[in-house]
Amino acid sequence: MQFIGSMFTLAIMSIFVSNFVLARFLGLCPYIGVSKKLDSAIGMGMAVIFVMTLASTITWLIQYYLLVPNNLGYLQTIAFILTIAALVQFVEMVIQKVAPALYKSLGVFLPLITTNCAVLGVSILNITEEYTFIGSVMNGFFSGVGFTLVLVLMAGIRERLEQAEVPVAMKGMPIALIVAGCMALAFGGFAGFKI
Amino acid sequence: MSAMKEMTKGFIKENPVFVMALGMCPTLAVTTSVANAIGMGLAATFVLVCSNIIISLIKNLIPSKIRIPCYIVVIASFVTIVDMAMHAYVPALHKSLGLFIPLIVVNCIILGRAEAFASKNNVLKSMFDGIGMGLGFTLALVVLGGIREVLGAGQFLGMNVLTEAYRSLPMLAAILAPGAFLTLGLLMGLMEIFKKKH
Amino acid sequence: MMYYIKLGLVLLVISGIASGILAFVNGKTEPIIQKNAELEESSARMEVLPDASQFVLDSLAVEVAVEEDPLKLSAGGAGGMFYYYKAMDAEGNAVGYVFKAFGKGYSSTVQTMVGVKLNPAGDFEVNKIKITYQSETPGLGANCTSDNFMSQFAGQTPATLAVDKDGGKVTSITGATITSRAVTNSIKLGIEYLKTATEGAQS
Repeated sequence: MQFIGSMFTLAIMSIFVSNFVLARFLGLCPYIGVSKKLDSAIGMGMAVIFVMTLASTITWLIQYYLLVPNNLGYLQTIAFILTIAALVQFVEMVIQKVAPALYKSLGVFLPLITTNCAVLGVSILNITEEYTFIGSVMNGFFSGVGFTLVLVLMAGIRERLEQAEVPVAMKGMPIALIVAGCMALAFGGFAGFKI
Repeated sequence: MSAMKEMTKGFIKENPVFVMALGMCPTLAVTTSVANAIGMGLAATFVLVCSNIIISLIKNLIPSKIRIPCYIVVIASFVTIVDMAMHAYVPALHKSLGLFIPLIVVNCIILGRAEAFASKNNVLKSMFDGIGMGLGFTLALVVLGGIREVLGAGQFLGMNVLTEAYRSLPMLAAILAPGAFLTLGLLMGLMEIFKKKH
Repeated sequence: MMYYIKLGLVLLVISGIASGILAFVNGKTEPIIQKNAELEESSARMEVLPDASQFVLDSLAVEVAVEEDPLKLSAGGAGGMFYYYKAMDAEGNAVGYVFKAFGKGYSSTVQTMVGVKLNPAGDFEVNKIKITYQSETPGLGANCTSDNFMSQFAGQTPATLAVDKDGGKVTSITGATITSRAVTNSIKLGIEYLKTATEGAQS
């Protein structure tokens, strides 16, 4: 029972309270860059959830079965980023072979994910926050869900912003950032929320 | 004199943050104070200059198919060096930047300059490009950090600049997450107006 | 095929060189990092109990009251052991105790170095505290390192150690009750452990 309780807490914490984009400032490039259209936002979100979950799994294993026993903690950054880059390549190849339809909708987003700091961020956070293996996998998954949630919300808002009359100087990036600021204010309501 | 040009373009005209909108994560995350902003900016500049130099040196040795992984290894090594050096010599700053030091690896500015500039130009030009872009990044961080620290805490670089009355009840939102987005959004809007005028 | 082997080799060579350089730098910086950490600890000890000049480490096995999170590797803190230092002045007279308190704050485990003395009534009294680690929200919980907050702990006894909302004498930081409570309660708990430890030694 306690296990389910902590799982629920972790889910709420990583989706809402310490949301990756709005509270931790990770994964902002795709958040601003790929949120112009709802369809692509959903595609990107799904790809990120998938890669973040996988990356959390594999980097945790690398850290505790390869780096720590051999006293190679200082190679963490280099090992993790190479793993993620290889992982993304691999996932891209597999999806292309196994599910061409899925590849069509996700394919273009996959290469972008390597330099998405949310993926490396979650891998490092799993280690610094001392999650267990199960905890890491879940943290990866739920953080990805949190990322997707705000990405999709943002895309919905920006699709409507297209019709709105925005001061010329604020068009594009600046207004997107203002919208993000308002969303951060709204999500700020979750701060101090404890279960 | 062309080297000079490579350097100054990063300050305003091609400023990585305000104009090209790259490296947003550290820009927003660490600018809660000017000290953090300077630390982050200089760390990124160091990595940018070193990796630009190395990459332009070895650009002819790497097969183009695996150039991105090679760039990543070079960048990650310098990031780790910065990480360890900061941990040893400026532990307080290292503590407050925390997670965002290893994340310099995925800062799009650095991989972006490696791919767009260092892989095509000679060592000297790449070095100046790195210095310029790095300082432009630092400048953007300091401007943002300055505004947020003054509004949110009434201080600049830890020194009190606003009255005691303000400091006891500052505009906290500027230091919290929403303030980061709003300040950067407004600054970019201002840049846009500035560009139109010239 | 040969082409791919060559690609792999190039990548391997570059990674090898990089790891070599990193190992070298790590060897240089590791001792400095450790020395800094030790220096920071010992100067924090001196700061919270300036009368003392020597510290002797002692420990007590305690039942850790915090609940374990099944998704975390460890609950943080000392793992069932309570470590404290007996502080003495240059002549070897006992002047008090120093311990480190761990309190789960809003976004981090706040670590506080606490110096305590015995007051004339025979009760433990806080001499001075210093927050040695926190990564709470900037502008809110992070203000726990301000002198305003830390100085009010001087002279507090377990009876008064609670935030104002809980009926104690510690004024909590505006908008950061969780952090204030974490610091205060961890100090109070530490003093309770210390009491058990010293009573055990006397009897």
